[in-house]
Amino acid sequence: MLNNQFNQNSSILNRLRSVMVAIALFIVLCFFALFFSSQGLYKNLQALNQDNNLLNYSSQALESLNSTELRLPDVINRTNITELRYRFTENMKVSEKLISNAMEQTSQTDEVHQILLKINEALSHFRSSSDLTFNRLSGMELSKSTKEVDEINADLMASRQYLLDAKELLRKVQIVIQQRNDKIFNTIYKNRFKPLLVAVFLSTLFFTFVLTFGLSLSRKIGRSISNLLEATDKVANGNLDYQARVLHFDEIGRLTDAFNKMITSLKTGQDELSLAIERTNGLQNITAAFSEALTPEQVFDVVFEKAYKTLKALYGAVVMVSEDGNSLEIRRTIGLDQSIIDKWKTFPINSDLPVAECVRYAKPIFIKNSDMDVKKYKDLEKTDFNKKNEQIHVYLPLTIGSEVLGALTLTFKRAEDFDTPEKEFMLALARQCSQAIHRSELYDDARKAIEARDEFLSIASHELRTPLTPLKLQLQGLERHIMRGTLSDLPAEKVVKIIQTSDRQINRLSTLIDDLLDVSRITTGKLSLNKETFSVSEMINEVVIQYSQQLKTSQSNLHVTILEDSQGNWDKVRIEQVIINLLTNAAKYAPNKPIHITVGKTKGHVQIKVRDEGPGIAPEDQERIFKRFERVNSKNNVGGLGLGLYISKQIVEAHKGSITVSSTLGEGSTFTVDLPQEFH
Amino acid sequence: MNQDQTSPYVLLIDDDVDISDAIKSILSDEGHEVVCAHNGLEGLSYLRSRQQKPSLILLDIMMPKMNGYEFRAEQLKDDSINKIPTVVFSAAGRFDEEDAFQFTATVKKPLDLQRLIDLVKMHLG
Repeated sequence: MLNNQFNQNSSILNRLRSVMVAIALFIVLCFFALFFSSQGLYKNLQALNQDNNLLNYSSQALESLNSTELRLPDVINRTNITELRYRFTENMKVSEKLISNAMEQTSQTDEVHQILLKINEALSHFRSSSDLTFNRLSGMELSKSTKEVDEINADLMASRQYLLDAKELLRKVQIVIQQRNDKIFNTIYKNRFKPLLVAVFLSTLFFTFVLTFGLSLSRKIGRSISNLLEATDKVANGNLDYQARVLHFDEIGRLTDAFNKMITSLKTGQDELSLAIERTNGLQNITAAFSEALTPEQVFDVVFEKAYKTLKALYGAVVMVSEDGNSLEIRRTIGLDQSIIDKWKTFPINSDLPVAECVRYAKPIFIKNSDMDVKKYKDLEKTDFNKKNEQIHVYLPLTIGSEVLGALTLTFKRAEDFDTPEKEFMLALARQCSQAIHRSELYDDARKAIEARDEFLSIASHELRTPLTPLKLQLQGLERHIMRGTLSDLPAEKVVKIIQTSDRQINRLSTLIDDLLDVSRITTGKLSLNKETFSVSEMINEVVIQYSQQLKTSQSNLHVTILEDSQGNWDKVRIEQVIINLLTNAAKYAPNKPIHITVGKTKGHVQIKVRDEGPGIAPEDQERIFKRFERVNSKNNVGGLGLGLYISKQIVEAHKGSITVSSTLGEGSTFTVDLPQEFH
Repeated sequence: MNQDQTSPYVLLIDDDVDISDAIKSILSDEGHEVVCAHNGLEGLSYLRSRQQKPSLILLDIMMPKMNGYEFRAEQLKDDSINKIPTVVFSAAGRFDEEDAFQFTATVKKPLDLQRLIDLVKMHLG
């Protein structure tokens, strides 16, 4: 609309151009006006000049006429008439020439011209009468008679009359010209300021015109410019919403329009920039918050409290790959109905769902409800996906290197696709989130490892000190007897008891150290097996004999049942260690209760079960007890490093077997060692 | 456990038979009466069942059934026995919330025999 108006060529430049043309025309007009106004003056001056010539001619003619006058004495006494006549004729010629010159200077309508004609006429009369006189004279003798003289005198008188007429007429010419000149002078004098006046008038008109036009134009331009300046000031002060008014459709109007467009695009740019800054700040905040999140749960808190709010998502979830890698678990949600959360708590990783695809291929997925793509996910029908319209679902993989940890899902209420910066922002967010989760997991592992180590060190120092205490006490007791000199008073059995106690403590210490060495071997992968083939029942019997002394102290009865004997190709010492471990535990946790050992066999596997009738192990503890430094109820006051079951499990697994526990609280526990007879 | 104590005696509460035997033997050599209990619960019931209270309690921390802390908490609640000086010894290397339990003294395992004898002498005279 505006452009059309601008294209109508009614611009300042065009207007200025037309003004220039007008001024040029005006100047030409002025020139002509001045020319014509001065034309009269010129004519007058010309006439004056002409009249001056006429006056010259006439006065010359008068002079020559005076000299042509024939006086009687000259004529009568003259001897040479011919010469006289010649001179007369020459003079007449001059006079006539002058008169004809004057005639040429005048137009036929001129009054002077008529007079000159009459002069000519008089002169021709004068000439013909003078010719008569000269003819008469030539026929006469030099000595003339009175009569002859009188006749000649009469002739001369007659011809003089003509001459006098001609002279009179010449004077009249002079008078007429004189009068006319006076008149012309008067006119010139009267009109001497006229061209000046015209010039002044015209220049006044010109300046008025220029001033008026210039003023109006400059005022117009000035107003437009100040309008634009005002807009510039407003914009400079940060008001990008201000749009300058287009006052005229000229260059400045166009400039204003361009300015407005520029500001609009500036504003758009600024909006985009501030959005980008907002996002960067958001991401920074999120990153800062992530860096403070120590556990995966805290990371999820950040995801929901900061990230989802920054993105203005409707709802979303954090979905993590399960430990076995076969399923996805919803770990955190926001804005989702509890029914959906319950229904989708875990689902197979190969589900035909966009989130599963996102995790499987570690690729971000952006889909709209309205997309045809939605239909290719068969399992989506089971969700509430299709119920809501105008939504975009975003699935962002959480990856560390090539490992996919899980995915962030976000749902937005919007119809249009995300632009590249928005997608980039979300991907950056997902990256930050993955790193934070990864870090928190590492942190968690490290924290647990440190806690376990601290716990272990505390237990280990306690367990190492416990046998040292009686050992030291025995030695100090002996020392006191020596100092007092009462050593020889000690009965032999007491000395033996001291030695036996000390020996037991030293065995305890060496067992502890063996356990620690085993753990060290297992953790560094240096647990080596020396395989040999032996009978399981014989091995059990050896253990029972070896262990009988210890069993006596705990007053446990050991019942061995061999359902089917078999050969095992194992590391005998290590398997014995496992069985002793299980027996020690049973004796420790279920003192004064019978212990049952059962040996059986199925499909090339040997099962050794150790059952006690102790307090049992709570289901939640059953997995934990096989881990390092774990004991049932560590607050409980049963000593030990908590390494026995861990070492046993490692030994059994090194034999490609398994160790499991089944237990009912209050009824006892059964540990089952399942070993393949042969393994490689 | 001696049935009737009339002279001043020490109550030793420790689950480790080797330790309690050794301590008892040494303190007996020094001329002090020692009564042994094998856990907190046993110690508590002994204290409550006796007219003649011990002059000193030697208490281990890590014990089955009732540990040293639990015993001490119960003891402090009972006006009849909370005045008995109680020395704690443990191999744990730390005495949790020591102040709250108002132990008379703490002895770290392995025990310094001289310090133990001095403590007993101080309280039994």
